[in-house]
Amino acid sequence: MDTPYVTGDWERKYKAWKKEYEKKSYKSLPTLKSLKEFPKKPEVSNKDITYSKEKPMEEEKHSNNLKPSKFVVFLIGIIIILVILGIIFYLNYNPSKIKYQYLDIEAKNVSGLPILVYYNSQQLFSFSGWESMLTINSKDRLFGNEQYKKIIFDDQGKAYTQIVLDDQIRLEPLSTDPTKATTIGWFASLSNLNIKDKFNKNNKEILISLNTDELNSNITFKIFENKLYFSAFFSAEGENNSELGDFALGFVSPGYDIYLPNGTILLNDNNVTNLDKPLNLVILGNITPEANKSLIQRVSQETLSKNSIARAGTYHSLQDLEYEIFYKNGTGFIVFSEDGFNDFENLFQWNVFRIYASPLENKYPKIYFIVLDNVALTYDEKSSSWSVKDKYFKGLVDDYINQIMEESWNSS
Amino acid sequence: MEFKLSHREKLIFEHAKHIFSFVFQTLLFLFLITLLLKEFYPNQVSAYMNINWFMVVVIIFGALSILFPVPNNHPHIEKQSNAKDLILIIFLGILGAIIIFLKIKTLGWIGYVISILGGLIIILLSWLILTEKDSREEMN
Repeated sequence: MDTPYVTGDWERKYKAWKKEYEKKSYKSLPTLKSLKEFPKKPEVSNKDITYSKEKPMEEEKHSNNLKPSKFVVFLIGIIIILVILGIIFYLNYNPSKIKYQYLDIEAKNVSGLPILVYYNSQQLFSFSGWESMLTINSKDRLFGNEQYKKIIFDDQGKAYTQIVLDDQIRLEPLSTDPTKATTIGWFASLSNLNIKDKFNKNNKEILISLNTDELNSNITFKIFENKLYFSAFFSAEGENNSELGDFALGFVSPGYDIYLPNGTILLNDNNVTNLDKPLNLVILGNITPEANKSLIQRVSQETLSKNSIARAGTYHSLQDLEYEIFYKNGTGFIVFSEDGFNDFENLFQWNVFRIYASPLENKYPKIYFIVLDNVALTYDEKSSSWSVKDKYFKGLVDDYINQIMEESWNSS
Repeated sequence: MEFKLSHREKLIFEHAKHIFSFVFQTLLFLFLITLLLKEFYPNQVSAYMNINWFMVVVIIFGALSILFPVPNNHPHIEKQSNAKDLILIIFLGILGAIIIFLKIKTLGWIGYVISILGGLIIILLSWLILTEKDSREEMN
């Protein structure tokens, strides 16, 4: 008789085997950590499978390699752009345009030596060699001659000089050598004059040299980069330097009122009146009636048709002033020197103004000009000084002057 | 006529095409900005740059990018114009109107009229260009 089949025993064995099997199976499975680290198999799209033999694998590889690198394109592109812009900037580089487009000084190599000061491309005022004075034993103009005199001849061939003044045409026999300009100032000939612009790292210099065998002198204007002020420096060397006296820098500035440090305002009373009558013809010297008649015919109709004018204006000579402020319609400029106190001469009749500089051991102090743009001026009674409010500065004039003096000393 | 180029030469040529395109686009953008600035600050811009030379360089690179165009491998995706586009167009229209006004404000009241009309034209033209394709498709 066979061993009787015991159902309960079989089931017990089966359950034990199943448990053992499942235990083994769990052990062989990867852990959660290892599952996370396991790289995901990339999905293969239909595009990447080559079905045709017309496009071999090698060519596919090449076409992918032909895709340009963005980094290389960007890098080379930027280099090319920078080089192009650099070349354009370099070729177009003009220091005078870039640095000094707001304030500039132009000295002209012509009779009278005009030196024009520009602000924002507009002429602000002008210096003048003719109106500047130098004292060496005696006082005389710095640069001038009698070129304003015209020479005319009568029927007999005799020479006369013709001068046109505000109210008259004056004719007089020529008494000097007409081939030589009659000296009025210390320098008379343009051949004595040399003008040079020099560009430095932080400033521009306008060097004006006046040289003769007896006297050498220089005026140097210095414009500071991106600053609204400039300096003028005069130097002279003669046969005897101990004889060197005051130098007066003359400038022409029509229409400006003058504000003095004590609060006084000198109103510009320059007045030019047309007298509605022709210029008087004045002939000097012993001249025959025939010569007189022929001379009148030689004077041009243009000159004869001019009307007489009357010029008026007050004159002020002021001593030991710290500064003068010139003001006209919101624009102006402050004039002072590093000396501190200077003499000023104001001729409203001619709109000519002068600041005097005295030499100390043959060295003249620097004269400064500060340009004021869209300025409002009020007198501060407490500090006894003018208060400036413009585009670039707000405060007392004394503080402005001190600030600029410090800047100037630091830069030099 | 076809040139047989090596793989390396082809690669260089592809790079050159992309560089021409990139340089042209960047220079054109800078040129237009410079041109706009020159209208308001003529002295400052002309002190640093000769705008005519800049234009010549832009034209040269424009010609190169047309002669050697970059192949367009990206599929063209039609995009519906949305509120963002409308806001951008209105912003550019207002900007254009302001620029026009700044240039002609000295004319007086007519300056206001011209600048407003100019701004409106910018907005309308931009919107028409943006929606042109959509409306054509709708018609079809």
